[in-house]
Amino acid sequence: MVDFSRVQKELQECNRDINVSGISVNPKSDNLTNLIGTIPGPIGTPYEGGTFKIDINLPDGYPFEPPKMKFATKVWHPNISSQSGAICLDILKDQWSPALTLKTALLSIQALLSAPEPDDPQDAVVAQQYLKDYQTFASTARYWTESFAKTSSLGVEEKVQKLVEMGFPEGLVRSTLEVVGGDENMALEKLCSG
Amino acid sequence: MNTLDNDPAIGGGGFDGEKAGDDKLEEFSDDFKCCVCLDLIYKPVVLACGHISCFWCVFEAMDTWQESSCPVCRHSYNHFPSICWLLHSVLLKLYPKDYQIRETQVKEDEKTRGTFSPQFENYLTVSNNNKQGEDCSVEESLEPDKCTKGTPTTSSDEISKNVAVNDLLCGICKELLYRPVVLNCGHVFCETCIVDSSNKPCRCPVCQSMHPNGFPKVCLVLEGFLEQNLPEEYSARKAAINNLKQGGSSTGSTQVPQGGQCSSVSMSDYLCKPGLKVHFGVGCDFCGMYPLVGDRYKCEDCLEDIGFDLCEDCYKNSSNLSGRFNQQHKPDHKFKVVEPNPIIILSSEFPEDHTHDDQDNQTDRDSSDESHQDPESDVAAHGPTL
Repeated sequence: MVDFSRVQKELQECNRDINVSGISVNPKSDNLTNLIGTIPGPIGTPYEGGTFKIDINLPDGYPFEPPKMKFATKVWHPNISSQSGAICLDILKDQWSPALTLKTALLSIQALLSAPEPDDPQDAVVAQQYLKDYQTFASTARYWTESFAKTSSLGVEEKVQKLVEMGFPEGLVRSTLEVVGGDENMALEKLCSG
Repeated sequence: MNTLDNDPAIGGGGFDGEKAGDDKLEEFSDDFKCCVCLDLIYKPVVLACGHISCFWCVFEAMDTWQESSCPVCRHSYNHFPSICWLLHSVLLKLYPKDYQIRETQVKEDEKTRGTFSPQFENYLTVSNNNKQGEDCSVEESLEPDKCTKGTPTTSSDEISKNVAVNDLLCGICKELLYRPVVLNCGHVFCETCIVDSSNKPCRCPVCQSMHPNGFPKVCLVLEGFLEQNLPEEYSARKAAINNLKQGGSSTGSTQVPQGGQCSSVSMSDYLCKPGLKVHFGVGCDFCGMYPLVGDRYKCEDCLEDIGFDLCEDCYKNSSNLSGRFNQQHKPDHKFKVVEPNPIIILSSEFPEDHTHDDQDNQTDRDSSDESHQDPESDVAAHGPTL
């Protein structure tokens, strides 16, 4: 049985300093076992400017068992499967500790984006490229960030207008959209939950 | 959990996240927030590294198959420490309302679970029987009228009034704790007192139980609390102890023994050594060793689901023991020696499963281990080659 009161506390705490960390966690459904985390791509990396969504699934034993996390956004990184989004990170496996939280795990994933470990790869093809031809790796990673992790600026105004028509103040709509990386549905969810 | 929702005053503790936080009556210090459940620590257990967590949180976080490690610092340990009743009393005085909400929650959980945590009252009777018992200040704290003196919104000024020096005395020098260490049995002493008291710093002077695996570290949260809330008294103690050090004994005995091993063999040695019995998922109800290593003495008369078990040392040394989980164990109960269950397990290390595939990521403690059968690692489980 997942400790839901702890998950609630985690969500509150994480979303309190969302403006500082840029990291957010939101429930995907009502039952709090499926969540979506978002992390901004670290500055000075090929992932800069992107907003990455992470699929989070809480096992029954959470927080005594690690949360299952994988990238929902396609990403080009030696330790992340370019096919499935699976993440190779020790704290999500045997190095998990119940004192870690969804937010700290997401922070670790963000750090992994900054510091790939090509010697312990999840995606062998990417790792090979990283080691042998860093320039190509970097431009591929940047291209993937542009293609998959950025929301097109064209649609933003339409989304803002749509949400404003629903009765939300424009300033709030813009900031919320920014926080969730331009995802209109997630913005609506956030606006509704206050 | 439903019982909580009926009372608007305590709605904050329930599952209903909307309310959580708003209805809290007391703003408890982050120092006393359990790192596992993120709530106010209830029935505090202090690990040898000095980190505090709730009784049930520590229990849940312990590893069935190997040494456990502290959730905060990963310091390894293999004994489930007893509840620190001194801290329990302090928390009850500091945050009477929140602490009682926690008590209600935990009692509900325990009913569902069918296993119960030790009760303070039982602890008093047992320790009085065993030994001269704790100083009377502990008993005082039980009285509810003393706990609820403060107004609901307890400010830090009132905290220091609620908790007095008497609540924070060392079991040896009977003075305010200085650099407090908490032993495996839950008793609290000044670091200097416990080092000076005997050549064997790992035995508790109050209850005589062993403190396994080296000297405990100072409980920094408790020390911080003392410094903050009793600043004058604490610095007076500091000065007194420093004077004593300079003026007196040149024996240098206040030097804390670093990493001194009490038990001759460490748990990891046990687990790797063929021929030794390891009872996975079973713990000793007195010293807390988990998993239990060596001969296991199981009580035949205790009816609780969790059972009552002792390790060989505790079986031989003690007669009047209470269980870790409030079992109704009596001294005239009979024991039998039980052999370990022949489970096929992995040795002390799990496979380095860089899974590369989500399906491999089996995290269920109970089922995952039978499914991988590593031929090299059966040694530890099939110990009984005797």
